[in-house]
Amino acid sequence: MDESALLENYLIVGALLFGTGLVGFFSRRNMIVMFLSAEMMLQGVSVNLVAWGRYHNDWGGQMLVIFILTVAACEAAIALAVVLTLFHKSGSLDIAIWQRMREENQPAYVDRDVSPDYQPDHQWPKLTPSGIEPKPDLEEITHRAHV
Amino acid sequence: MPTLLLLTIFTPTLGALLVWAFARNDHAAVRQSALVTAITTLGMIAVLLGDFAATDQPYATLSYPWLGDSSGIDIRFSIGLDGLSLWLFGLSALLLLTSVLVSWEAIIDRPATFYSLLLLLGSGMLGVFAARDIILFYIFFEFTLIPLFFLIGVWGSEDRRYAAAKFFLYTLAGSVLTFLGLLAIVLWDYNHNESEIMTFSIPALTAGLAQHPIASPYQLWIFLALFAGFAIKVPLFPLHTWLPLAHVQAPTAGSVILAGILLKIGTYGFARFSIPMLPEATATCVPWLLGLSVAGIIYGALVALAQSDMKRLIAYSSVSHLGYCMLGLFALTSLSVEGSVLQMINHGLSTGGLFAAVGMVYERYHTREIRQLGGLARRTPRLAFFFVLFALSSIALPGLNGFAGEFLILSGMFQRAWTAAPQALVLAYQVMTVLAVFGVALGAWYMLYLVQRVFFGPLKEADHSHSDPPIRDLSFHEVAALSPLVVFIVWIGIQPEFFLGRMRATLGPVADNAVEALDERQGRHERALVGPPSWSDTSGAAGLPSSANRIGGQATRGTRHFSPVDSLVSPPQLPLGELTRVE
Amino acid sequence: MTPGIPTLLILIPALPLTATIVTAVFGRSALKQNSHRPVVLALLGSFVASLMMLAQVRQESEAKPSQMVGWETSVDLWNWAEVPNALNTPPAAHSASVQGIEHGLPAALPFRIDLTLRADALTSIMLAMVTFISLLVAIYASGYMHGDRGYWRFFSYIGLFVFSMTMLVSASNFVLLYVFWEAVGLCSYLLIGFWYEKPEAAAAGKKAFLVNRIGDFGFALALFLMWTTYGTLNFHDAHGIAGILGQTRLADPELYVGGGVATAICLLLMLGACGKSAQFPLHIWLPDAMEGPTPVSALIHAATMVTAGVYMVTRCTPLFMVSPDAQHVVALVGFVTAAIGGVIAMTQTDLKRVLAYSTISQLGYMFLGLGVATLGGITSGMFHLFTHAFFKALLFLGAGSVMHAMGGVVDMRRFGGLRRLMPTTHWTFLFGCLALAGVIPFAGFWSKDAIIAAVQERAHDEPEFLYLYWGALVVAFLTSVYTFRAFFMTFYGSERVPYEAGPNAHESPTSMTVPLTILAACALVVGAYFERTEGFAEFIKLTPSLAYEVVNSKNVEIVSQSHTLVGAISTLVALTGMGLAAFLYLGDESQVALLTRLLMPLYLLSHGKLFFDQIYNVLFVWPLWTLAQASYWIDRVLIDGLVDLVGRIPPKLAALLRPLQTGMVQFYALAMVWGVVILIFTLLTWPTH
Repeated sequence: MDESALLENYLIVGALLFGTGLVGFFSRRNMIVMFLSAEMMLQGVSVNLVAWGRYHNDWGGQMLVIFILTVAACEAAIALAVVLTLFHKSGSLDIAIWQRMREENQPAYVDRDVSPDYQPDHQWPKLTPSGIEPKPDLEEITHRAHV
Repeated sequence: MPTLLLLTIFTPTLGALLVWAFARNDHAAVRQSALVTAITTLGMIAVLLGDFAATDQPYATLSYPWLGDSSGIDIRFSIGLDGLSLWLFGLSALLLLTSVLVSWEAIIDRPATFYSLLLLLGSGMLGVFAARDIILFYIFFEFTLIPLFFLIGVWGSEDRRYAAAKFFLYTLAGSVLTFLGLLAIVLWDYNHNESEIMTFSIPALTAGLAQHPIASPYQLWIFLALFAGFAIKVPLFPLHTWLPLAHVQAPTAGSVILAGILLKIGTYGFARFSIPMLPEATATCVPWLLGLSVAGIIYGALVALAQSDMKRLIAYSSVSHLGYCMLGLFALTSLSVEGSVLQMINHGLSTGGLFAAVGMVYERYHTREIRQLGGLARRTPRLAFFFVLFALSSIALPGLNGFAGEFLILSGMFQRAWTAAPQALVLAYQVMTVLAVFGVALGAWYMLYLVQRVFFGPLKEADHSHSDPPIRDLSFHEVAALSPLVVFIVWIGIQPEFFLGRMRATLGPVADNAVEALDERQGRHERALVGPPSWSDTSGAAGLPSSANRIGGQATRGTRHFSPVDSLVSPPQLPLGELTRVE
Repeated sequence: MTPGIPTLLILIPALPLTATIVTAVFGRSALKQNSHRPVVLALLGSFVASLMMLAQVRQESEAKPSQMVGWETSVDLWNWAEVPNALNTPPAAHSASVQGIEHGLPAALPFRIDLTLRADALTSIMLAMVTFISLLVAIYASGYMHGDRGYWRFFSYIGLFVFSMTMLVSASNFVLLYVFWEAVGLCSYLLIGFWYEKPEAAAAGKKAFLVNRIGDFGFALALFLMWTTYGTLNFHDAHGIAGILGQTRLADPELYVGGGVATAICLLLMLGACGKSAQFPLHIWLPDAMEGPTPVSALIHAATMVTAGVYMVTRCTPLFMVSPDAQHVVALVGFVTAAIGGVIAMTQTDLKRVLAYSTISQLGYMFLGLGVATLGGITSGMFHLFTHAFFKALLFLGAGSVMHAMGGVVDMRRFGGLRRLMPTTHWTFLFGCLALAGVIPFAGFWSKDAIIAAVQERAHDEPEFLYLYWGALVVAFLTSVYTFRAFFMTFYGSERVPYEAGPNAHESPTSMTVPLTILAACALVVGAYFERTEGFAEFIKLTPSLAYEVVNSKNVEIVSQSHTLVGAISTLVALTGMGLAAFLYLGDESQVALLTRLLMPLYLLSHGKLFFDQIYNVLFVWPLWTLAQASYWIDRVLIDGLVDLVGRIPPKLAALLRPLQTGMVQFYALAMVWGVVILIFTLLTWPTH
């Protein structure tokens, strides 16, 4: 496998990571998920850097990624702290709550109600809503107790 | 002496720090230390003024590098006095003392902050007049806004916030443009002088621009940029509307300083920068500026006549009187320029005094409405005496200071209109002169109206039941606040030469270039009949670039630039005047 | 050893000034009811000094060196202002020392004003007159004002006035003249408004000041015009430059600029004189000025200050000589004023107002004399000024004495028949009336006659003056009628005393009657004495302004025959007037009522003071007032509105961008991505070269 093909694969992975992160950031309103998406974009860029570094035989890319990881760790700490504070203030992780920070007299985005006769044709797997204490599944507990 | 000057400027700052640091909680200590600071400043200035010799050389200069780098930017901390700034410098300290004394009992809310700001303002005013570097000047120029903004906004009357904001924004908007204009002057000089140094020194720039004048179209734009800041500060009609508002809302001390000093910074700026540095643009704008000044004189007087609020009346009278200052400055004759600078001092004394006196009335009756008061001469004869005296000074009663200034200005303007007006504008100039003289009569009308309503007639006192002490005549400190002003009002009135003589040597060169430019515009044949005055006959030897130099400079520059405006009004002409002068 | 003229010249104004300062400083606390003492002493000193000066000036004038045109001397005190190279030398400027040499002056002249006092015949006689009258009035006022709360204030104002007035007549340049011209106006303002609690008094003071300011507006313009025309404002030759009224110009009258400029200068000066001397159309302030204390009316508004205009025009005779148009205006203004004053005085019921209008009328006579512009006319105008000062001061002080006794009432309808109650006042007042009406041999006869005769003389050259001559005779008739109307209404008829006077109305105290008696004696003899010795005209003629050849060449020797004729006619007129007044006002007043009904429109006009106040209100005051209100409206709504409008622009601009701040984080992120995309796209597609 020649060098450029290898690079191409890495770049595709990086782009996929970045794109997924971007779409996730745009489409989700849960702050933690948004944060995760942002991290994913960051990792996409990191993969890019590593790939190019390898391609050019230059350790600079790898080095930069190490830095990015370190900084991302700090950033994650701060971001989570911010998210936590926001949660404390509003009691919700929905970012749309904070649209009250908009300019005065601007119309708010209102969530359209889902029409009652809407039947999702397919039940997608769902992540546990983050930040909300999951309801303890009694069966699970009792089942475990028997293990 | 330079050290003394430096100390003088920063004594009020020092006083402000001391007041704030050590006496914050003790009202008596606060005002006593403020008073001591003001008296010390005044004393030091008295020493400086006593030592001043009437030459055109700058006095007590001090200059050391301040901001600058290897690329040749040379911003210096450079101070000094000359005939133009001398008396304004002294007046600043005098009115600082007055304003400290008039606040003696009026300010009970957060006195330490008040006096600190007042003293800081004092430093700012002194600095403006002493600065000899453009950046330093501009810093002081803008710095005066900040303490006054707080003085009006915190200790003012009912509508103080709006007034403070308007005052601040209006003047700031103008002075930003002024700063651009000043920078343009510096850059032009940098691009055209031989040395590699970008100088910000005012005298160096004045001399430099005389050697290599700014090309005409640029001159006009730069003039307009400077005009924006200075004309608003003056305030020249129709840029005056912030003034009545700020005066009415300001505390007494703020009004005194504002009317007495801050307005003069505008006229001072014209005399310091616009006229000597931009002579051709000055010559172009003279008819407009004279027109605006006269409009301000008449308009200010008329509007003052329609007022029911004492402070607003006096504020509009300031618009009228500052019109005389501008008229004198831009009539560009030796009489009128001297009169104009004298009038700056006069207006500071008389209007400062009037505002102080109105403040004393307000302290007693808590009203400024003319119709709520009457016959106060019976209740407060001393206050009436001072008020009438200031009013008489303000309406230019001969024998008091206002007359000396206005007489010189008007005779200079008359001279301009009758013997040296451009042909197309002779009639307009003459009408302006007659209107300006008539303004003096109108001035008497509104001022005497005020005096008659408030101090004469049957006693009518506004409801003052909520103030416990009975109405008293002036107390000792109030008399002490007003008396120094009276001394100077009378002194200038009976011997203006004492004051004029010390400023004369500086004032000649101020307008010299502009007069020449004006002369040139008006054409040689007119001059042959009746020429405008020129100082160059005598002042050529006194440190001015001589005519020979100018002609040399012109020869190297080649053809002269004429602005489009210029060529519309009068076609470009050969500088024959200068050729004849060589003979 | 007698002090020299310079010392006296300084001493005369300095004494009243010192007294003013002393009274102002110590009056309230220490002097109190003794406040008149320093002032009276100072005025006495000034009067003695003026007499000494008069004698010395007379001596010097008569022994003047032959090359001088009238004797004068001047004293420099200090330099008021000196602006070098102020004015490019105008063609009419002239060197004082080298006559006829074109290049005697530098290219530019300095604006140099000194505090210079001068002495000559005109000044010295004015000084003597002013100090004498003010001394008597001050003595009188010490009785009249006794017990007033502002006693000290009154006397310090009086001192200030005498200082200003003496400086005015001894000033030797136009600026100084203008300075004290306004200073006496200020004293007048302060003294009219002396009882400032009275709204009428305060308003009258303001009115006087403002009307005078209109006049001073003209005066100031005249000053500027003279400055640009002659390059100096000095009367005398000084510092190598020929003064406007100096020896050089007087010796060579060709040096005066004629034509339109001269007329403009003269008319503007005349406007100033109209203000100060209450001439038509600026006469409206003087009647209102009667709100002041009566001694003030006598001193300022009858004898001295109001004659400043006459003094000034006399002083400027050489300027008026080059402008015949201006002379005609002066004569016409004088005559019109005399007529207006006479007509209005006929029907006034306020004793002081009758006297005020008669003052206006007599001042008109003086200007008529000056407008004749012959030596005879000018000297007779000045002569009338001189005699008028005595008898008008006498009349006012007499009226004051009546008011004093009547408890401040001046309405002649409310008292009458006072001759037994106040014998001294009655006799002295009668002397004043006879002098005013111009009955031989009282002072007014000689001077008024001289004016009328001068007008008739001028009519030989210019027939138009014949109208003025007949007009002046008619006014003389009116004068006689209204004077004696006032006299009879006050002192004759049945004895009536208003209730304000209290139960025992009595003759005034000695301090008041002594000045009255002295003035009455003066009113009797002063005219005849000077007329018989020809002393006044001969002396005044020695003033530089009057001694030069143009005036003298026009001087037709007063033909004694016509003078006698004029004298006879005017005496006849005066006696007829007296007779008419006696017929109407002695005995029952049914004739008056009948006459009033017959001449109702005329009566209303006269009683309404020809409605000058109302006309001026409509023509000037209200329009200006409306303009003021309109300007204020423009200021608030248009100019300030525009400023506020400009202030609203940045918020409006910012509002355009506000919808971008949605508060939705995703929107911001999207915007950022789009921004990056557009940037990259632009970069990629940017045309290189």
